[in-house]
Order: sequence, then structure tokens, then C-alpha cells
Amino acid sequence: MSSLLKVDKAVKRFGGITAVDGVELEVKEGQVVGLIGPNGSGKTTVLNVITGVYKPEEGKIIFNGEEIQGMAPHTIVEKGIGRTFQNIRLINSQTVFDNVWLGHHVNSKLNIFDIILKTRREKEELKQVREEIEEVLDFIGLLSIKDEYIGNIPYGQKKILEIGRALMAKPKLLLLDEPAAGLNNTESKELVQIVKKINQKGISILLIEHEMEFVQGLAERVYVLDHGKKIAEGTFAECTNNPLVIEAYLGTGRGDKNAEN
Amino acid sequence: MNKALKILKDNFIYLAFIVVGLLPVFGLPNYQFYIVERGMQNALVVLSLVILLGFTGQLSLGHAGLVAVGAYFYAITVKNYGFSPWISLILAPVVTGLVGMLLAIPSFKLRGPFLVVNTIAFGEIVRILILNAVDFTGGPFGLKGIKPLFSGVYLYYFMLVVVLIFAIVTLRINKSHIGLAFKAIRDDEVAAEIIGVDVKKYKLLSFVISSIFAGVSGVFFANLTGYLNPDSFTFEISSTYLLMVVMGGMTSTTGGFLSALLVTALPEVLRFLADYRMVIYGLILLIYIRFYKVLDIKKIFSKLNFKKGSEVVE
Repeated sequence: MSSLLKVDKAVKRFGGITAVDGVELEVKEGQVVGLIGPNGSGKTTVLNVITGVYKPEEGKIIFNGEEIQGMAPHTIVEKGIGRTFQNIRLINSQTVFDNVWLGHHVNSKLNIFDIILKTRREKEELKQVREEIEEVLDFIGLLSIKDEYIGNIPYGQKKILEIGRALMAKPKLLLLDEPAAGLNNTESKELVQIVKKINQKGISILLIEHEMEFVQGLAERVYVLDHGKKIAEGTFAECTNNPLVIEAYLGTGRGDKNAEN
Repeated sequence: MNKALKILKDNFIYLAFIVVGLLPVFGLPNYQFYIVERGMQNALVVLSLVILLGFTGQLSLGHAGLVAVGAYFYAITVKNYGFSPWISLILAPVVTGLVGMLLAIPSFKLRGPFLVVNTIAFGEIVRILILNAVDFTGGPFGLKGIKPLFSGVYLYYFMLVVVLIFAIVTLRINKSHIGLAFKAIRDDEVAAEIIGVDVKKYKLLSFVISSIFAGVSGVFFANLTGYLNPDSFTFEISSTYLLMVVMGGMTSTTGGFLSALLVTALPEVLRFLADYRMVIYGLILLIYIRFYKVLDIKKIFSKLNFKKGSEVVE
């Protein structure tokens, strides 16, 4: 397996606070990797550094053999990194269908003249895109609500819809920012299945998660962050048995109990 | 019944155009006819704002400046340099588009009220430039005797066709992935960028399309009046455009077209009130803004609709 994403000693500072302090991380092709850590440990910042929202002050982000740090976020999406948000960010004034369509944006070959003149190219692409959208909606199980407006659908479906939107961009790597947060048990189990199915399609996944069970079921490899620094890496079991992780993440008092579970 | 209503709703814009197109047949007196023509010319600016404000969420209060660029470019090239009016008609929107591109650049960094102040400044700069470049623009004395494209009713029909084409362009943009990108920028700029929309590119595109519309409107303005003066392009005019687009429902092409005609005609219809004219004008607008949701065509249609099968069973 070759390396798909490599974060090489990335540093990101906000004023006097170093949110990401020399983090090293690697996702290989076809892998599901977990990124865990207590609140404020810099997980989402790492994600934002990878997706170009923040430019790292030091270090490199290498995706598919190319340095991508400092590129505009939409360029990074074009390169093949899709993501979802911790707080859902769908376009509320539009339907489920349109939101997924927006994900296709980076792959669209149409320009403004195709649209104004309704060229044959436009008709062909639209037909193909419509099929693709329905395929994706079917894949995530939301085809039946495709014409609903975002305001009318429940939270859990919004979370899954964000994954659908990211999939429309045909990413090689999918970054999921706390996908299970706020989901109930059933929804969370459904989500595990969806993530597994996505991975079977050959899409690598970097997963940020609080819910340990969710990561345990999915991630082959886990990185643990604390105060912007990587404190452990390895399989889920290795990490949860690491005393540093127990101290930082699970807390010293309750550490032993949790590790046994 | 349901289907007929849907067809009517989808093609309402054509119906509106047919009605407006039939107006000359009824033989309106000259002045009334001129007001309708001005309404059509304003409709183009409203369509321009539907794209910029309604879709993309970038509020411009400097559109009178863009209209002025189109109008003066047409007038100066035709009158002083002897261009064919048709060549100027093509070139004017190109030039306004380029100016619009410059106007777009601050929008990359500025948002909300800051961008609005910027566009106001743009409108004022254009007006003051026109006022002071006396050699070119005639300054406060204006430019007289501009050769029109057509005369009389032919110009009206030419305008009608152009406005219809631009309305269709607006509708097509609305239903395309570009329209979707515009709306994504309007609703959540940061999210739009992160899911792959090149925010700068689309803001630029939106401003350019919008400016082209405004430029064509300027050409028509020069054609209709035959006389240009900086007083026709004040901040007040820009805010009237804003009023029209808000009354039309911000994102609605048909609504924008109709509200442009109505708001243009309203002060003239109320002329018999003499001194109280603007008071009543303001009052009518206030009442409209308060109650326009009652007039929501979509809701009226949905109330007229028969119930869906599932609801009948219940």
C-alpha cells in the first residue's frame, strides 16, 4: 500500500497558542485511519490544515505525492480530498438533491455559455449527473427524500447527506469530522455500515471521532492527539493501552476501567 | 387542473411578456408608453440584481453607476466618434463587464455592510467623474441628440426581445450548477469554498454577468431619452433598483420583471395627487412590504391545488 496522505511535522499557531504542534500522520491507500484526542487537542485544526482552510506555518502536507499546503480549499477538493463538517454545513435554502449536486461542482466541465445556450454537452452532463446523484442518494439511503428541503429533514439524515455531498466530488480520501456526534445508536450503526461500504469502494478515510466504539469498529490505525501533539499511534488496542493516552484522553482515575472494556 | 396550474406557473414569465408585448396594440398615449419602456429598461437592472443579490448575496447600491457606464459609453462612441449604434450596443456591455470585474475585486475581502459602502462609493465615483469630465460627457449640461437603434415602437419590441432573452438567461443560471454555486456562496461562503466552489471565480462571474445586464440597460436608457445627464444616475436611483428587486422577491425573475414595471409606473400613476404623491407612494410600498407574503404566488397556487392522494385517504 502506498501512502496517500502524509502530514509531515505540520505546525499551526493562533497567536500565542500552538494548536497543531509538529503533527505527523499518514493515511495509506484504502485505509481507514482514526484521529482521536480530548476536546481542544487540535483534531479539527489538523483537518482544517489538510483541507486548506488554514495554511500551516511549518511542515508539509503531501497528498498523492504532491505538496498541497497553502493551496486554496477548492483546489484541494479538486485534487481528491473530500470532507464533512463537525457542525453541519448544508445549503439550507436548497433541496437534498441540490445539495448533493453541489458536491459534483468540481467535476463539472460546463461553463457559463453551455448553460446560457443549453448546449448538447449541458444536456448530456445533466443527464449523467442526475443518475450519479440518484446513485449516491441510493447508496446513503436518502433517495426517498431527494426533493425535501434541508430544513425539513432530521439531524441524522443531514449528517449522512454531508457524506453524500462529499462523495459526489469523487474523492480519493474522505475526511469525516465527528460523523457520529449527535447520532443515536441505530443511526450510528447505520453510519458504520455506510463508512465501511465507502471504504470498500477504495476510498481512504480519515476519521475524527469522540465516540470510542465508533472508531474501534472502523479504524485500522489510530493517532492520538493531545495539546496539538501526537502522543500515540498504532492499532486501537495499542493506543488505548498506552499510559500516555489513558492519562490524556481517558483521564487517570477512570483509565484502567475503560481500557479493560 | 393541477397540471394546468403547474404549466401556467412555469410559463408565467412568457405570459407576462405577451401581455406587455400587446400594450402598443392598445395604443397607449406617448407618455404612458414611455413609462412602460422605462419600466422594461429598469427590469434589466432588476434581473442584474436578481443574479448578484438574489442568487449570490452580494448587495450592490452602485448599480446606477454601472448603468451610467453603459449609457455614456454608447452615447460618447456614437455621438463623438461616429460608431454604428449596433457596434456600440455590443461594446457597451463588454466595457461595463470589465468595470464590473473591478467592482468584484473588493468583494473578495469585504462582506455585508462593508461591501455595500464600497459599491455606494463606486456609484458616486462614476457620477462625479461624469460630472467633471466635461469634454467627454458634457458634464452637468449632459449629452444631447444621441442616435437611437430604432425609432418608436420598433425599439420597444427590440427591448422586449432583449429583456426576454436576459430573463431566460437568468432562469437558466438559476437552474444550473452555477446558480447553485452562487446560492452556496450566499448561504455559507466558507462552506462553499471548502466543498469545492471557487468563491472568487464565482463572485467575479456574478458581478460580470450583473454588470453586462446593467450595461445593456444603460444603452436602452440612452436610446429612450436621447439625452444623458449625471442626475439620472444618483444613489437614489440605485436604491430604487434595490426596492424593485426586493419587491420582486429577490430571487424571482418574473417577480423582478413585474415589480420593475410597477415601481416605475407607480409614481406616475399617482401624479394626480400632486404634493401628496410621494407620501402615498411611500405608504403603498410600506403596505406592500408588510403584506407581500399574502400575495405570494406560490402559496396561492398551493392553496388552489387539490390535495395529494395520501392526504385524501387520511
